[in-house]
Amino acid sequence: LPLALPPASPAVEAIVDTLALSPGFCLVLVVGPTSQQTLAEWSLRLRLEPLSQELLLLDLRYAKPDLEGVLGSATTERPVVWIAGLEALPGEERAEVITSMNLLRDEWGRSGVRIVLWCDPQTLDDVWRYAPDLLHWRSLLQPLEPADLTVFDRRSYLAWCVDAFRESTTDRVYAGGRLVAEQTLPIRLVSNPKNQESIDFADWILARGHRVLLCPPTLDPRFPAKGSCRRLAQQLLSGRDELPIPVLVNMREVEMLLERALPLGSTPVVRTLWATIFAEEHIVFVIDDLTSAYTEVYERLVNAALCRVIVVTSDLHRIPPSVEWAKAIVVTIDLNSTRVLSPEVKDPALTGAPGPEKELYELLLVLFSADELRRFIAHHYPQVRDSLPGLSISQAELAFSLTSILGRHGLIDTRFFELLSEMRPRRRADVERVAASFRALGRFA
Amino acid sequence: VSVTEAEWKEMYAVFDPTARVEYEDRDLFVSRPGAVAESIADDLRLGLEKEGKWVVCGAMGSGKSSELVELAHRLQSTHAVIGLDLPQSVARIDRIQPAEVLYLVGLAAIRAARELWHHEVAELSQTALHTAFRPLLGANQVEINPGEIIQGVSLLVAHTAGLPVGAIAGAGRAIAGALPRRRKRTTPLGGVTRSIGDGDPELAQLRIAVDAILEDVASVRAPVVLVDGLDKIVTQEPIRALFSDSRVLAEPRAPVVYTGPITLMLATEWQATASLFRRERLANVVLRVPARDDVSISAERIAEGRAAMRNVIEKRLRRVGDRTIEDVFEPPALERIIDMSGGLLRDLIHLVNRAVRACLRQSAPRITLEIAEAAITEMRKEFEVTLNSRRVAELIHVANTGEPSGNGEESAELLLRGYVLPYANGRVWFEPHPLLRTLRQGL
Repeated sequence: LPLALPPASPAVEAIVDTLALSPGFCLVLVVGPTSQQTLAEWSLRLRLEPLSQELLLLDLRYAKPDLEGVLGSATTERPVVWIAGLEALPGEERAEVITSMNLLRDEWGRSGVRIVLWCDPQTLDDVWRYAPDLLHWRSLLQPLEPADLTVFDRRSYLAWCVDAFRESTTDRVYAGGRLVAEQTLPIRLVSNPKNQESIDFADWILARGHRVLLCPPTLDPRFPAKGSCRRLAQQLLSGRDELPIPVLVNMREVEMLLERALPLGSTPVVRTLWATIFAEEHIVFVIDDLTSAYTEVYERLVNAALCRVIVVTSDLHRIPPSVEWAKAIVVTIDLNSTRVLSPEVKDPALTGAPGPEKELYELLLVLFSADELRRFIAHHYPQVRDSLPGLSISQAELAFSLTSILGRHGLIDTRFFELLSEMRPRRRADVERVAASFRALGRFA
Repeated sequence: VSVTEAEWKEMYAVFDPTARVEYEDRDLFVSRPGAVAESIADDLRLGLEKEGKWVVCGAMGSGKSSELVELAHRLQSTHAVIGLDLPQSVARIDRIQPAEVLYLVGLAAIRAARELWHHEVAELSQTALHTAFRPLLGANQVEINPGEIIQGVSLLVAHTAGLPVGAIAGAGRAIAGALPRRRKRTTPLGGVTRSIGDGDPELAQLRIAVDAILEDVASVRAPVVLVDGLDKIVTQEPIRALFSDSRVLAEPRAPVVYTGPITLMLATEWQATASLFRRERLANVVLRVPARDDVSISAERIAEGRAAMRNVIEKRLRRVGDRTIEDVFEPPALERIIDMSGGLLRDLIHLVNRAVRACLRQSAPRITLEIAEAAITEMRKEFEVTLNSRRVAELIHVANTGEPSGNGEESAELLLRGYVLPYANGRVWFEPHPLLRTLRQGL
């Protein structure tokens, strides 16, 4: 993968320029493909980095809408805050949060904060409805298309993987409160002789935010839990001097810490832990001796401290589906190479972009409306109908997802292109051109 | 001499659409055709409206708050200007009730008298205000602590008294730039009163208490109350509750000027309100001959409007090394940007801001027509992304008839959000925003 930043698309460029040039308050609304939220965030982060601009994440799926709290963790004077996850809030709560933002506009205006508000089309409509003042005082409202986002280095690749994970597991991992499916995180180990494109465990964990539940299958069962955690902690540190040393604690120590009343006689070790955990961004492994599942003690720890908490628990089956922690369900970790493994997903790092997939995506955009695409799939490919994203996404997002889904299922073949030609006989030449691109690269299933 | 990169950057900041025009930015104020500050100030100075009530209504970004700031400036030597910044004073402006506004007027008067004119309103009157308000609270009573609640009231344009920045702790706009990240403590008001009819005897007590305070302030100078922020309410029900269903806002015994939502420009919405308030319509600047037979606009009026828009740009450019329009714009580019602003000031600022960004990106020496078109396209896309078929149908109706249909949510929403713009020339007519014109047939 190239090491240098490729040129940004005009859309990404506009966002970066707007943020960088802003002398005071700045609000950028980004309307993007819901299935590529993480990649969009990282695309921006990686472009702001060279400008010494810090990007902080406030993900409303995992955190309260506490902008001040996020700003408190900033290391620079004027960070950019990326607010994500609005679309995941239930309707009334979302309306309430958006209304509150509208009421805070004047306040934000005076504080000089720079905000990127990520919206899907439905959320933008809610902003339009509940926060017209905020919308009118925007600095920029920028639609992002999948073509605006590129995977060009390990971190953007990781972001792409996280999106793939979200898209493919959100509804499948838990059904009726039970863990189902093959328990495989669809992040691919890219094997090649140089082994350059792999994602390591640390990247994966760090992309998960402040709450991660890790279950034993992620660890090598031959090792005792504490030893495995220590090893993972070492991996987190590996080559990352900027990260603080992870801390390993057990449940009893956590409870003592949360009491906030350490007796004078308590051990120096616990006192040190207490001080460490309250330092920003520390990584804390909580080992519950593999005997219990999620408890509210973990929430208290996250809320009380500023650390990232990784709970190593024994049984994800017993964790209520409503618990909104990133769940490392069954990640197969190769402890020797520290790579995250998965056999499933095709990825842009391997397939390269632009390529025939891009051509197909553009063809689908031209041939069908979103409704027509859904009907086409329902009629001819019912086996993947349930894999399609929800109704609120744009035609472009739907076409993009569909291209990816058909590829994953090996359904881009002669029959597929024949069907397209039958549906749109006057566009046969266009269809055949794209089919020829696939054929030339030997990409027919 | 070509505009330098540093000057473009400075210009980008000067044309920042997210920045409010503060009191200290009075050099940017442009009096334009149909502006209201001058006419209200004249009426008050001549003593024509000793207890007049005005509602200044106009589109979002049309300059209502700026007009209020200008009005305060014009009156400061003759009146005791009590400016109430409502959004900065309450927890929920969207839920504000008439009795709460009245109570806040009383609180603002006490605070302004104390901190701007060093006059303490009689303690008896202050106590009466709080005592009268408490029985009006709803079931989930909030704590009314007189000492604390008054600190939560934000005064508008505290600088009118010439006080140094920070002289008034927590005063809204006076401390711009020095605000900590934590939200300033406001009052807990905003939807906390019980259901109150105009004839409620306890409401009458509140009226009496507020009037007594205003009378007390009159010993300093004749009071005039400016209430900014009711235009932030964007749903019809609370707008009607404030301006149509209740007389409370029209009852203080002093002149009061409110900023109000644009929907009050509609005849149907105004009918019930007309007897209580004088409406000052801050319509958008007319920049072209309307495509309607029933409206006539003189060429002079259009030239005056365009000159006002140029003046807005000129005044801002003066802050950038005294640059002139000729230094920065190729003539057709400026005219095109003015056209596409629809006469809405904030959109004019938006467009120039984007054109300046493009100049920076391209290292361009001036804003050319091509760069102006790029800025226009960027803005147009932003409008487009929020359109749906119902909104488009309503916009086409406005284009055809010159007024909103009044049907469905879209009708008021498009007006409140600046997609439908009001213009006035004796009568009011409406047009879709010019940026929308090429997006769909019929617009």
